[in-house]
Amino acid sequence: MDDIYLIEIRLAMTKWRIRKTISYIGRLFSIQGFLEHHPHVTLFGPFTLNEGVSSRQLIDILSQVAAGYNPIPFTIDGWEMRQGIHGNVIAFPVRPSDSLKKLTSSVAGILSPLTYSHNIWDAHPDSKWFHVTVANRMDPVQAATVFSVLTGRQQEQPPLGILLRLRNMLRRVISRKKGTRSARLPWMMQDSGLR
Amino acid sequence: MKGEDILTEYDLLEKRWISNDHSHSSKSWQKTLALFRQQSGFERLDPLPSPNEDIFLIADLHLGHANIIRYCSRPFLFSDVREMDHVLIKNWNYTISPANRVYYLGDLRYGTDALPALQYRQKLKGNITFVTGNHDDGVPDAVPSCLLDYGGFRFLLVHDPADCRPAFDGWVIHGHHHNNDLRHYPFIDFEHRRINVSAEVIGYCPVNLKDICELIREHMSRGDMTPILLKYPYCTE
Repeated sequence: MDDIYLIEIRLAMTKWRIRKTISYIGRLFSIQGFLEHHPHVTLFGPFTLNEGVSSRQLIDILSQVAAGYNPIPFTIDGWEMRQGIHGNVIAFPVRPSDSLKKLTSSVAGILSPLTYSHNIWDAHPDSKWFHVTVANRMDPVQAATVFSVLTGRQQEQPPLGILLRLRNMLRRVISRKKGTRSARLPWMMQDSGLR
Repeated sequence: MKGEDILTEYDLLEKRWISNDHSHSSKSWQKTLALFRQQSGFERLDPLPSPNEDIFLIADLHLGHANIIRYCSRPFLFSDVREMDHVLIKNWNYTISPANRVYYLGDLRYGTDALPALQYRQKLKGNITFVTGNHDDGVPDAVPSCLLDYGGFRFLLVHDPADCRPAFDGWVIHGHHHNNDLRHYPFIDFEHRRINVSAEVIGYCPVNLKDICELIREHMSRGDMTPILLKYPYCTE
């Protein structure tokens, strides 16, 4: 695991809202074990370095690419479910800007000869699925249930026990009184990758 | 990332690698956000004077409200609400001349840490008409809504568009929704004739009504009813 690398763009301004929403979904569907706790957009990987290539070389070569870019805008919009490497993935799809697509292609172009990627899409950066993972490693039935509620295809609440419903109701009342907000879904959000 | 850890981060604004030790420090992130605001036009660095007859609009500054930074993804450090207030007030005063008419569409300040509304008001230039928002108190001459004829259009200015009479057949300019529901409340919704001037939607600087009228005319003449989500560039693909 320690020799597995990922090249990611961090969420900037939207990070808190996305984390809050992911955590809310985890509680709502009792899927905390499947959640992504560090939301990001993956540009390349997971991958391992070819023999003879060091972390230092990786950083040096990425510097050459990254230096040509300013903040990378993208829009997070709606929900999507796909089959991932380790089971089903529920994610916020990302509408990439031209600069995000170009950066991804450049990173793939420069890293492909030096690495072995476990992500087949890294060989086809033009067809890359840009997304922010909400939950992964889910079985198909569980993922389909969550996805149908998130997308409004299933109007009824997910199967919650009476105690859980009471707890959720209480939380809503408390947060309204305190003037804080619970997560609401879904959002369309604009962000810019700064790092 | 290497394994579960951040190996290093490249800052696209500062054009340098940030070692893991410093990547999450508030100071470092604050500096990055400030550069981002300045580069994106979310923070004015110089006054941009406009003709005296120009009319400006903005809503939902939420001065003094730290949580709004996280709730609405504002480009500020969460813990530094004073910096947010400073930039928003500076943006206002670099945009507005003392003779300009400004319509402020509600929610000037919020929370127990915020200054009284009158203190904020004294810092803002222009001939300001305050429209009441759901969080407003202490703005003595605020009005619930107002009508404005400008550029061949009739506008109703109100904080929450839900408070608009259904029979009104002009354009509603509103705030209240921030950037929380861009699908239903984008910057300009040509179909429902609604314009959202919440600070986050228009890039944290008051917007000139003349520019709004031009956008409406331009889109209507092309028959283009595609909403404009934000006043600043965004990804549409």
